[in-house]
Amino acid sequence: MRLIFLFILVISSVEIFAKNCSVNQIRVWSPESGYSCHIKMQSSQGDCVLLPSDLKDPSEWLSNFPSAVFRTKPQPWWASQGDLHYPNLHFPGVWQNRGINASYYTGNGEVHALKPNIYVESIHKNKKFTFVFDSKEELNFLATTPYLDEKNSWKGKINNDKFEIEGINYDYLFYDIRFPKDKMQYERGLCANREETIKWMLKDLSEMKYPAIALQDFEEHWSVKIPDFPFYCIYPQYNKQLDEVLPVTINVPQTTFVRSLYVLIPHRTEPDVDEPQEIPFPMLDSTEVRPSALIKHETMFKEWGVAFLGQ
Amino acid sequence: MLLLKSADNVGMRILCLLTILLSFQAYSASGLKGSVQSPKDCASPVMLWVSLDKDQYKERLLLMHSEVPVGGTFQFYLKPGDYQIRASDEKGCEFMKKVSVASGVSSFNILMEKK
Repeated sequence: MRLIFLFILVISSVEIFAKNCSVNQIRVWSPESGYSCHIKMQSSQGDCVLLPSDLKDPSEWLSNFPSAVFRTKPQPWWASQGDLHYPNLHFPGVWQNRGINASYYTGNGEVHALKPNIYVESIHKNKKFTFVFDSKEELNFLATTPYLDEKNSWKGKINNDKFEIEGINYDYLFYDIRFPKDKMQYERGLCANREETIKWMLKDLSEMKYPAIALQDFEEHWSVKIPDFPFYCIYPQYNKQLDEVLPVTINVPQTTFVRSLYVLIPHRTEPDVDEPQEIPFPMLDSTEVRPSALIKHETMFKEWGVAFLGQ
Repeated sequence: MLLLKSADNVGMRILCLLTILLSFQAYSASGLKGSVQSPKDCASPVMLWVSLDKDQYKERLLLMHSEVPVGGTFQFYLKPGDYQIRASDEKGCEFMKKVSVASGVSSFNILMEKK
């Protein structure tokens, strides 16, 4: 009996160890081995990376590329068009070193929260709604679709899983915005290589029961727009952080709003605790604090976004 | 100014100045807002691309892009300057215009064309 108890204790302590790391460790995730704690992260695969900053002359571009560029999935229609016109299509914006070049953008705030998309699932049709960004602080929007009214709100109807605003159906409501860096959390999260970063974010959204269209849009957009750095540390921001920095009021009864924004910090080399970092490596489990998706409401709003720091 | 002169004490004057400053800040947003229209033989949604207004490919940096359904609306908050606004859809319909953004928000409607 004692042996069984000891065995359970050992197993559970291994589980705790894997979920939260001790000081001077980095929380790492891969689909094969799950969560683990490391002093130095090592990638299982040799990522081939070339950044625009590494290239001085555009004529060197082809000579520096690997001999074969292989994409596992076909690009969305807009990506192949965008490639023809824009050299930085595969970056989330104008890029410099390891983040957004903020000098090209209006407003303030180091965190560029890009493409938070808001989806809805409802049992109702023709249900009137108002969605208000009612912050007392100055808001630093970069883009919205559709445009907001003078009260920073969207008004219209919900038809099951679509928004109808001024007679036009939207699959999702969209905005880009800047937030102050100190309003985000940098303790919880994990590090992974680029491909696994996307997989983990999708897994996280899926576990929070985001609708299929939201997962599909996420994968389509971010598989193109996350730069080809070999490693990323992910710092998920959920309702706790987002409701404080960008409070929202939705005037629909029996509703809930699940929010998720992944702050990504790229790394050129394996994250190593011995190297000084501006943002500390994540040590604690983020899933412990994410919003619960167990209780279903008549109308459910869900938002995802990815953020990068401005330089 | 009339308001300032009529203020009969220092406190009132400070309050007036603050009101003027705050109202200036509220109107200091700049950028473009508008809607997307498209003929029937084009597709929905439309991708709107905002880039620097440069002829050279390597300098034509993309600032942001947003997918908008036909008939839908958008707003881009931009610093004053010159930009290139391009729109495209899956069926090859297009729109392109160079635009100078000054202070304030300008109306900017997009009419797609079959090429």
